Amino acid sequence: MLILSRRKDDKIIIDDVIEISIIEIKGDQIKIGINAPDNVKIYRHEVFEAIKKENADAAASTMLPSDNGDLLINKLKK
Amino acid sequence: MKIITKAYGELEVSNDAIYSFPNGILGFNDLKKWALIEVADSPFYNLQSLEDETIAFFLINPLSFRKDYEPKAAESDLKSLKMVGLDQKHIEIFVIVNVPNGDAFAMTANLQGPLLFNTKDKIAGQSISSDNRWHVRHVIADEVAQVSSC
Repeated sequence: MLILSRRKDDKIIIDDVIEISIIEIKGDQIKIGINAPDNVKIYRHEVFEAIKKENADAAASTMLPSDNGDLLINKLKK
Repeated sequence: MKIITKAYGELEVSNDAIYSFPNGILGFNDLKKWALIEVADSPFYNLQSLEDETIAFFLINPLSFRKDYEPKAAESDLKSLKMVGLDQKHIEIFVIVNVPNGDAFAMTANLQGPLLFNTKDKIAGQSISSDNRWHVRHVIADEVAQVSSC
């Protein structure tokens, strides 16, 4: 992993087109600004991981509701 | 064509049911070919990997319990799925359901990671919604109850 030290208002350029700025540093929180072309997808890491985990859980439990849910299921029209 | 499914064993599906997922599904990025199978007499669809018969999902149309659902997908996802300017009738949106122990009332839907299907070009993919109303575990029974009590 490449590790760089940066101060407030410093920037990093990735692949000529992605610009990352250190906007604000306050205690243990850092505000980061990102300028990138719109084909670059940017997500908080935890969101990405949550969806990956949820997919894995759903794949592991592949089954349909048993009969207990008929009333509920009937309300869900295609 | 004949395929092997996790939920139903061997099954005959039409070529129309086969979708290519250029980027796979998050966590299953190597699986590019899937079959979208309508489950008879039920609101569900089955999404079966053609490359790994042990991997399948059940899907539901999110509008069946959230009339206000909009995926708010990234522009780059719409582009890679050739959905920019595509007639709405060729776009289907489904979300993955998780049914812990087969309990319908515990069933959740992942509204944060919707699956977008381009039914014209037969390509699909999972997007990450930028709308912070949506998270990975919406209890469907609760969503239905809220609509009924309105």
